[in-house]
Order: sequence, then structure tokens, then C-alpha cells
Amino acid sequence: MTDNITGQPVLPPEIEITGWGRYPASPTRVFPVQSTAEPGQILKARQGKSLLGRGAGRAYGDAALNRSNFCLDFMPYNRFLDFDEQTGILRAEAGVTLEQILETFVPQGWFLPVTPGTKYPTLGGSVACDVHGKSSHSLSHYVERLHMLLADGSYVACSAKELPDLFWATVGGMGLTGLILEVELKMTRIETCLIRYQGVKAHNLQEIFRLFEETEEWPMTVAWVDCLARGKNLGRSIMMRGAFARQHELKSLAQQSRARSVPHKGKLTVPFAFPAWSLNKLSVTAFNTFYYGKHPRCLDTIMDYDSFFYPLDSILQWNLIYGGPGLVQYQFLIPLEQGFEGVKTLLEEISATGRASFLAVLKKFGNIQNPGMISFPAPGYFLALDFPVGGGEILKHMDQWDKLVLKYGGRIYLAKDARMKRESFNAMYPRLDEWRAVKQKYDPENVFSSDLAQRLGLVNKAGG
Amino acid sequence: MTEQKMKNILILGANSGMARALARELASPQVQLILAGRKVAELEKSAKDLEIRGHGPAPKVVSFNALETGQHEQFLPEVLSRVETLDEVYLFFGQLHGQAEAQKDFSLAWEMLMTNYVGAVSILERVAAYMEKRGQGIIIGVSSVAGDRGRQSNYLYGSSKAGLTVYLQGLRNRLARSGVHVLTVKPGFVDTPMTRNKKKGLLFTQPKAIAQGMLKAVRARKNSVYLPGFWKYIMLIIRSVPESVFKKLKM
Repeated sequence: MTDNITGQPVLPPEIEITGWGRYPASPTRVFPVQSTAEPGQILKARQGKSLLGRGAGRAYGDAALNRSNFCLDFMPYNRFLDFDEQTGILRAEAGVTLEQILETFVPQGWFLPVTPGTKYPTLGGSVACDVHGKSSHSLSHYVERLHMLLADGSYVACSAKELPDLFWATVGGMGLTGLILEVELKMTRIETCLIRYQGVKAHNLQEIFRLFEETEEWPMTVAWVDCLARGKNLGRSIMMRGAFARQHELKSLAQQSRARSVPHKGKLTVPFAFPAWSLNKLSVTAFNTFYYGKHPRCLDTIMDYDSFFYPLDSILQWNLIYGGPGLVQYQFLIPLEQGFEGVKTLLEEISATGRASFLAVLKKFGNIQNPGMISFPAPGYFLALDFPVGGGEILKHMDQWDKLVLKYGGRIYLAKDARMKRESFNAMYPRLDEWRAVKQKYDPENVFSSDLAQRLGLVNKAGG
Repeated sequence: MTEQKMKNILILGANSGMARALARELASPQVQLILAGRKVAELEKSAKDLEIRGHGPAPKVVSFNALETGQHEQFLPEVLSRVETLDEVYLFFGQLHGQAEAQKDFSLAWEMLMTNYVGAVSILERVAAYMEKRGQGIIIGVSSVAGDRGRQSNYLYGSSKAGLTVYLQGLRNRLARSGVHVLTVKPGFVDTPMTRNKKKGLLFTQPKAIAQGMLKAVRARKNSVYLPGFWKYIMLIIRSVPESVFKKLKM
């Protein structure tokens, strides 16, 4: 928003904002970005304040917060700029949401190459977090080019070929190298948008790991884990694997009629924050037992992509069920070789604390190459668990879990993190120094910062 | 089966958030959009976006400045040199400055009055003459609830919109017999993007909801509509407070 007469940005009021977990909160001035010139104008008139691009605010913790400084809200900056039907390359402004991309391109037979478990994030935010989801690569694998505004006011394009250092520091770089203005993304051709789905029960951790080994030919896999199950049931889970259905696999006319249509379902909205006690060990155990119990041994079916990729999106504001103080997600990765031992040890540790986690999701990444310097996805097993913040004791447990993750050579996903200690972080990301050098090169004065960057020492010249 | 006729729709002030949302609702293979506004480069981007989203013809882009009333006489002929007819015209442009700033600096007040009232009347008089002669067409003017009653916190902006509201009323009366329809849209106070962060999704969904409400009102041939609809009741109450009481309120 700029004043039409002076051309100066109008200073918005300082307001409390949070990420998706609603923890922590930070007072920030938020500038909506609607036109191409605005980011440059705000950069010029920042008056010593640091800047941060913010998308839909779907990162859980403090990645999109910038305490007492400025955020640029890219949600209104959301136009499609070009689509090449030959190559499938879409060029769009950073604030376009994944949902908008699907609504426009699914009817034409295209899908996102990678999608996280929600369709509400923006494209720019997804690149900054290098999201992964159920696919076998992270998003950066399909990013052709980024158009950015840098700290010195210059506009540059970067890719794996042009300014590769900037590119690989920016994908997964949490918005700290510059403002991502536009993204060129290679979309995936699909014959139908329906999913051939198989859900297979596993009684324990051995079984689910074996299923992951056998499941290599499925392009999209994830397992739902009951992390309150203990002893011989530890790791009780359901493997969910899917592939886009081919035309000939659709049996009924009803299915065929939906082969290119965007599903529009009724949505529930959680109206207010639940009381903190409503999610306790008893209620989650009951839910998990019910969910697991009602699932058949092996389910083979065709389902719409919304139900497969975005089961939680049908409940708007589901983050409110975690109560007033909010929620934190603990998502870690253990490298392949140590995968079973690491996941087992952590699951034992977590279930021993008796903490209720509704959602525990396990996923395997095979032998992928990810040149992103501080991007999370790497070959290994990931486990993600949500916990209510409650009185905050859970955060102390997490510090203990971090030590185990480190012991197995693992790491924590920054897009979900709200609490990790700097020392743990420094030990988790082996290419951090390389990233710091790029940050120093393109943003020596730390024009771009965030609460996460402050907490983890990503904007400290001395190197944390 | 008759082939559906292509509709030509002009949007004045097409860079505003609400206009962008409306254009996205309108974009389709049966609609030729003409986007008019000051920032042509931005409009070109929006045109591409609408072409991709709507799977329709590429929208045409025309430069338009509400304040340059001297140019308005040539504006319509220029548009009509690029499309055969004009079926609907949406007027979105408007200038909003803070009341306190405008009280201190009259140039800000002047800009609001000139854009929102004089500029609007100047271009709509030409549109009205064209449609009246043709004997068909729809004019949709975006005014504001702020024009329903003067309040100390926004009367400079409010009075410019009050002028527009009365103008549209008169125009509706004049054109009723010639088959041209005039719709007045009064959006409630549009939440600033900042409030979105307090109550998530509010602003984001709102322009879209307002755009959809507007289209519904156009199809229903409404004369005047508050958007969202509950503003009708809020303004009913605000208008019914006696002036002797109202003047002492802090509003």
C-alpha cells in the first residue's frame, strides 16, 4: 500500500501474528503486496527495519514472523503470468496458493509436481520451505526458475544454472536470502485427477518398515502411526499409498465423469479454540484405536485427490482443536541406514512420555539428491507429530528428543519448528556454513530476517 | 440450440482488489473483458492471469485516469474501436485517504472528491449516453456505506460516495425507460489486509464473496445492494438515529 501522492509506503499498525500452530505470537507490521512495484518501495523505505516475505502463514512456528519489524504479505500478489502447454511450465506470482493452481489446472490435466498435506500455502512459501508431502522428491526438484528482489534492490532470476548458489540457498532457505516474487514451476501431466489408493494395516514398526521397502514402485506413500501404541504394538500403523489413476482403471461412469474435475466438498470450520484438556491421552487413544480398528486389512479403492492429499483441509482452522496456547509439530528425519533404530527409539521415548499426538505421520524418502543447502528433505525416514503446547512442558521433552535425533544423524524440519535450540540446529545441517556464505554474499546487512532466523542464529555474522 | 453470445464487459479501476476478484469471477469463454486503469503494466499482468484462469479470450487493456476528465470524451470511442459493443460497465475506482490527513491537507480531500464523484460522473455520463442510445446495457457503480450518513471519522470520503450514490440513483431513474439498468453497490467497510491476520482468511475471502454477491445482484436486476448483506441492517440503524443524538456520538 503506497500513498498515491508521496509514493511512500503507508506504515501499517503493529499487530500480533502467528504461524499455523498459533505459537508463538509476534507483533509485526504487515504490508500487503498487490502490485509489482511495492516490494521495491518497501525495501527502499524500510528505515532500518528488517523484512520478511510472508505467504499464507501455514508454517507452524516462527518462520513467517518478524518481531517488531516488517512482513510483506504476498497473499494478494497472486496472478498467473504464463503457462506453456508444451513444457508444462507455469510462471506465477509468489502469492498464488496451491489451491488456486489446482482449480485452474486440474481441469486441463495438470497437477502440482509435489504437494504438502494442505493446499492452502502459497507457492512462494512452499518454495521457501522446500515442501515435500507424499511424493518422492521435494518441490525444488521441479522449480525451473525463481525471480527475486535482493537486499541491494536488484531484481534477479536464479535457477540451477543461473546464480546456482543463490538458488540452492533460497529453496528451503526460509525466505532469508531475498524476496521470492515469481516462481516458474514444472507441472505434472495427469491422465485423471483421481487416485488409485491402497491402505494397508501394519501391526508394528517392523511391518510398516517392510511395507515401505516393498512400496518403492508407488509414487506417493505415507503412513499414519498410532504413537500411543506401546510394547509389541509399537509403530502400529496404516500405510497409505497412491498413484494417479489411469483412464482405463476407472470402472464406473461416475468415476469417469470426475476424471478432470476439482472436488468441491462441504467444509467444517472449528469455531473456537478447544479447552486445553479436551485433547488428552484418553481421547486420543480412543480416537486412534477407533481409526485403526475400523480400517480393513487392505483397502483398495479409487478416491478423489482432495481426500488423498488434503484430508485435514476439509476441517478449516483445525489448529484450534489444540487449545488456546496452540500447537507445535515435531518433525524429524533419520537417515536411511539408521532409520529403523532411530524411529523406534524416538517412538519409544515419545510414547513413554504419554503425550497425546493425534497425528503421527511416517514417510520414507529414497535415494534422492537434494542440493538445497538447508533444505530438509534427504534420504531417510521422517516422522511428524503434533502436540498441544499446553503449559509448555512438552517443549522440554522436545529438547531431549533433539539429542536422540542428533545421535542418529537426523534433523528437524524448520517449517514446523518453533522451539529448537541453536546448538542443535548447528549440528543438524552439515551445509550450514555454505549457506551462511551465500547469505553473507547477497544480504550482508541482514535486511531479510525472521523470528526463526534470530532464534537459530541464521542472521548472525559471526556464525551463531 | 442457440450459440451463446459473447458479452463485452468494461471494468473501470481494474487494479483494485475488489475489481480483481470480480474479474476472476467473470472470466470465461463467453466474456470479453476490457480492463481500464492507471497502471497499464499491472493490468497487462492481470489480463494474462484472467486469460489463464478463465480459458477465455485475452482481456483487452486500456489506460484510464479518473482525474483526467479532459480525456474522457475520447475514452469510449477508443474502447469501442476494440470491441463492437459494451454490454456491462463496472465502476470500481475510488480514492481513500485518512480523514485526519485529508483535514490537514486539502489536496487529499480534493483528490477523493474529484476521483470518487467528479471523475465517476464524467465517465458514466458518456457511458449512459451510449447505452441509452443503444437501448440496453447495465451500469454497476461501487459506492460505499460511508456515503449513507456523514460521520466525523470519514465524512470527506463519505460525502464523495454520497454524491456518487445520489448520482447513480438519478441515473437509474433516467435510464429506466430506455432499458438500461443501473445497480448501486455499497460494500461495508472493507477490512484492511491487516485485520486478516487477526481473524484468519477474512480479507482473503472477502473480495471474492463481495464479487459473487455483486454478480448475484446483477443477475437479479437489483437496484441497490449492501455487501455483505448484513450491512443493510447496520445502516438502517445508523440512518435512523436522530441527528440531535447522532451529532454527539463519537463515530
